[in-house]
Amino acid sequence: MLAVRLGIRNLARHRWRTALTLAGIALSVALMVWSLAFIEGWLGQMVRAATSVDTGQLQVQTAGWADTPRPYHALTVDADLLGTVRAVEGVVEVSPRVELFGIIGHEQRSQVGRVVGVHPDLETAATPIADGIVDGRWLADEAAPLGAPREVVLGESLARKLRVGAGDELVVFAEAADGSLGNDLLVVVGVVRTGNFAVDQQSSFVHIDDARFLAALEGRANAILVRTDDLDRASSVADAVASALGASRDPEGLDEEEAVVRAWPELLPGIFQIITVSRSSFASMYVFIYLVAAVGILNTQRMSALERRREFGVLVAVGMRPRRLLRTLLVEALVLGGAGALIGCGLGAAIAGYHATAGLNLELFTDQTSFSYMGVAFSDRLYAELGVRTVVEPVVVMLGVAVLSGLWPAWTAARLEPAPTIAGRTT
Amino acid sequence: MTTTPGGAPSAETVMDDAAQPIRVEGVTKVFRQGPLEVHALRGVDLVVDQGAFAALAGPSGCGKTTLLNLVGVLDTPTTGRVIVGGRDVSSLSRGEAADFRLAHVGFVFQAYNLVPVLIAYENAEFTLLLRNRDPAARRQIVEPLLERVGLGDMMDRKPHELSGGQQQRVAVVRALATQPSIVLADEPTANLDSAASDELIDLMLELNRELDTTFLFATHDRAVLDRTPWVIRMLDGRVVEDGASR
Repeated sequence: MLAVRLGIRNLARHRWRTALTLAGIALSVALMVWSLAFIEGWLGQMVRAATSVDTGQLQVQTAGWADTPRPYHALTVDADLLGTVRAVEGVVEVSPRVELFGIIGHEQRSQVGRVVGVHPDLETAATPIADGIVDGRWLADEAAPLGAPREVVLGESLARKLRVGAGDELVVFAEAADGSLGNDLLVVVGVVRTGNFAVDQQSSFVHIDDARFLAALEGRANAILVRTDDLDRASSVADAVASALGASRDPEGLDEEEAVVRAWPELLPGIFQIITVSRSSFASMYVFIYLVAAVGILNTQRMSALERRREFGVLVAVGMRPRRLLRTLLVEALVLGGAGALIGCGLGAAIAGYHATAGLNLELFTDQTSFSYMGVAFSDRLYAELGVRTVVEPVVVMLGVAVLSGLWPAWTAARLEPAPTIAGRTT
Repeated sequence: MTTTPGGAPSAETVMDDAAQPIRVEGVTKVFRQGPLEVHALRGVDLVVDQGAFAALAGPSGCGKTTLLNLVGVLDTPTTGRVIVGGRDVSSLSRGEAADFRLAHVGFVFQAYNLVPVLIAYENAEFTLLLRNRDPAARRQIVEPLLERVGLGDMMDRKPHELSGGQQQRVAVVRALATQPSIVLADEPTANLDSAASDELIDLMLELNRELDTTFLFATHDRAVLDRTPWVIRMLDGRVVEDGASR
């Protein structure tokens, strides 16, 4: 208590100096909270955009598909398997997919593309793709009867390249699981804008039964896409799914037909790497911000220690142990850093909280009207994500910085020889 | 038997501390200033009895403050022994020295040296706080002492709100609060006018008689020396006259 009382009163002794240092610390922490919230928001938005329409948060596949995505690497999928996966805690919905690669043509134009066979209703529950229809409609729940034209929904960019819209016909050629070349006539029933450039440029969606027919994959699927309740829990949910299925989490060393469960960091290693690198890069910036705050605290504490040399000498002379003096001065630094950190945390959280709901309008900074990164489109508003980590981490780190910054002045003061210090001589 | 500040018996008990709380034996002190050696004390022997009110007198640079610092365990002798309260304090560690000072020695400084952010009461109770005494016990000791020195209605004042004489009286209370066996004062009246100086000496003499606390102080103030029963004169690092019997 003595240390806290002395600390607070000594800080109040030089109000302007303390206020300026507090302002520096508070602004540093506010900047940290705000920028962390935005970076987490940006990275989260990128991962959500990539996983929500393309991969899901995790997939059940064969080890062969994980290694080389060829149509014959497929799982036998039935209601029991889907039910087992769906019953795992954290799983929201599942959607089996057949994925083929081939050529999609219309009149004189053709494009290399991906044909994705989906259960229209399951896919609608598992992904927001159907919500992105910009022309026509989503696939009908039932596959087309024999002899009737099979339905296809095209990615917006692919449709633009092929110059087709709802009602037009397409021809598709794709490698089948038995090595033959499947081909079919499809009618475009809709055009979709998913926000994922790769999907919009390359993908077309057909009923899974039509895809199975095309690829000779009766009763099978190349992957089961799984949507989880929490992106951050994808890996632990993948562990649980693997456990429920008796499957592995790592395709390495497995037979090609064995099931493997892969979470989004394994499915999208490029994006995962970008996130890792981004966090490391921003960490360097954070170090710089903390260093600036550390210099401020160090300056204040050093100035204060130099001005109070005689006082320290007296405290030791009347019986304060040097170690207690050191502790007293560290508490003073901690009070300074803690007060600044809490003010900054409140300020940063308030601004980030506003931007978490209202978003930051990116169009204020550029003439562009669309934004993308790593093939993922962003809306014109970037939303901050204010989590426990984004608020607590800057405060905890700043408290550590405060103690470290105060250590040198405190240690120097505790080493003073009382007799010459009181007499005003240097030691 | 004497005890360490922690309460354990001291292995360095060498004499009856009740009779002679201060004993200095063949002490020298050499300061190094670059290549120069400054001999501040050149073989000082001194015994101060329990309950004495003694002054170290002499011109500036004669070694008064150095001797006080050694007796107050603020410094260590180059050679010789300093025995305070029966304990040889010539080579204590920094922590041990702080504990010893807190338990046995009270200090009054020339420039008062109160903690500027603490009020008079808090300054007066500071040494008791260091001894972790509870608030009620502190109040029981400090309030009567502050009343005794005439500062009963100024306890809530900060040092800058007190006159020099009042600040020095707070310093005296701080020095006496832990009931030390000796109080050391270095030029305690140097910054005071003659009236305040007289008042302070009166106060110290009264407390010396009432509490039987040994007072040893350095001064070159002739008016103060005239009122001091025991004057120890120093010159060039030596005791040249020990007026114990004056």
